[in-house]
Amino acid sequence: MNLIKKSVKNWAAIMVVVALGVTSASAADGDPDAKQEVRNVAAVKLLKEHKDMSLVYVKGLVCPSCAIGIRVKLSKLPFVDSTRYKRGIDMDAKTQLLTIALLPMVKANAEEVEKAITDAGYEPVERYWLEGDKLKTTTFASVKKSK
Amino acid sequence: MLIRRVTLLGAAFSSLIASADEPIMNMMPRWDNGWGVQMINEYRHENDLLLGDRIAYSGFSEDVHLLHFQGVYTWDRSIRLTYKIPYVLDARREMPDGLGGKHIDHDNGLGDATLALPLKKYFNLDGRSGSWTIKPLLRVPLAGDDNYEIYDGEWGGGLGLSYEFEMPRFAFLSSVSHWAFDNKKPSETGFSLDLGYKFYPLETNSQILWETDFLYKENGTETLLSGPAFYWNFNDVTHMRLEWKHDFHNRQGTLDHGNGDRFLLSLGMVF
Repeated sequence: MNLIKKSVKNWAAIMVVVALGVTSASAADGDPDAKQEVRNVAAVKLLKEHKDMSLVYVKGLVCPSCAIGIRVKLSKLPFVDSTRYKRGIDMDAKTQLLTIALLPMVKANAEEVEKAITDAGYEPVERYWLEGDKLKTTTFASVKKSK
Repeated sequence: MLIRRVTLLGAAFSSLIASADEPIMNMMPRWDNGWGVQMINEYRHENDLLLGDRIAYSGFSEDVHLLHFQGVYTWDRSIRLTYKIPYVLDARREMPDGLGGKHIDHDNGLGDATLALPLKKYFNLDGRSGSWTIKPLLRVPLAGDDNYEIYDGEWGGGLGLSYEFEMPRFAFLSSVSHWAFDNKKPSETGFSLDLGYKFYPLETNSQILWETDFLYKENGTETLLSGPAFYWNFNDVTHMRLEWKHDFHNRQGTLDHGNGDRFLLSLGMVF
């Protein structure tokens, strides 16, 4: 019983040590469910299956609840078709891919997309499209600047 | 005289553990100009009156039923303002009457408000997103001045630090905070550690967490609470959370109730 009591009293110290351990371990990138190759395969599949959409890799998009802001910001943009998906936006926490439904024959404005995602607290990295069967990417301006 | 002394001793230090959690559900809103409100229905039952490590009066219980009204505004993702206002629906405690029996005290009404200014540094990595937070805290006395008050009615200042991150399947939060008060109330230091597992049933977002809090007060009081929580987000606006925490360790620096459980049901709306 005394042993249990003593251990319990050390909980605070244990928690601090665990916190420090996890903190130092998390300095690097996470262990994403989807590596870049997996994301590319998922992107090709999505682009082939869906029309009138824009596909974006958003770094850190791992929590659909925290990322509600992306939907809040993007769904207000004039080129987004909010009748599709969930208010025009679909988010995949595993691949960190963001799908934006576009109105037919309307082109997305890359700067507005980039600003909306940044204002929501996330980092847009690149957008995807298909050239034949080949996946093409364009890096967002803010990523180019930071390089 | 004895009754009065015992009552006042208990009353002077009767207090609740200030939760380290921030609205909304510790998560939102992360976006510029986002805001939200949250209501928490809390029920707490303590089994015994403790003094130090020992049970001074077995079966002298305390039951507290609270509503917490909370809100948050996010200017941009690095600056938030939050408030928490508790309302005591009913609090009932049993104290020794000095004659071998019990007398019963009641409390209801407003509790002390807490204002916080969480300053956040977010990071986005491949497969991981999180934040560091430094959080100045202010306790505003709104509670009454009866001989039994759940909240102590004192000004207080504090500072909180936290680190959290999420991955597609896992979530982690650790925090430490310290409070100093204006008058008799002893200073407090708290630690929190939350671990969560995320899953996505029927296109909703859910999380099962195991949460642990440890509180140390300057008067020698130590409390370790731990238990499960369930978070469910079924649309973009509405978020729900259910929580149960058990006192695994209680040491009271002064005569106070302990050895209990607390249950919380939260409903948050974010815009």
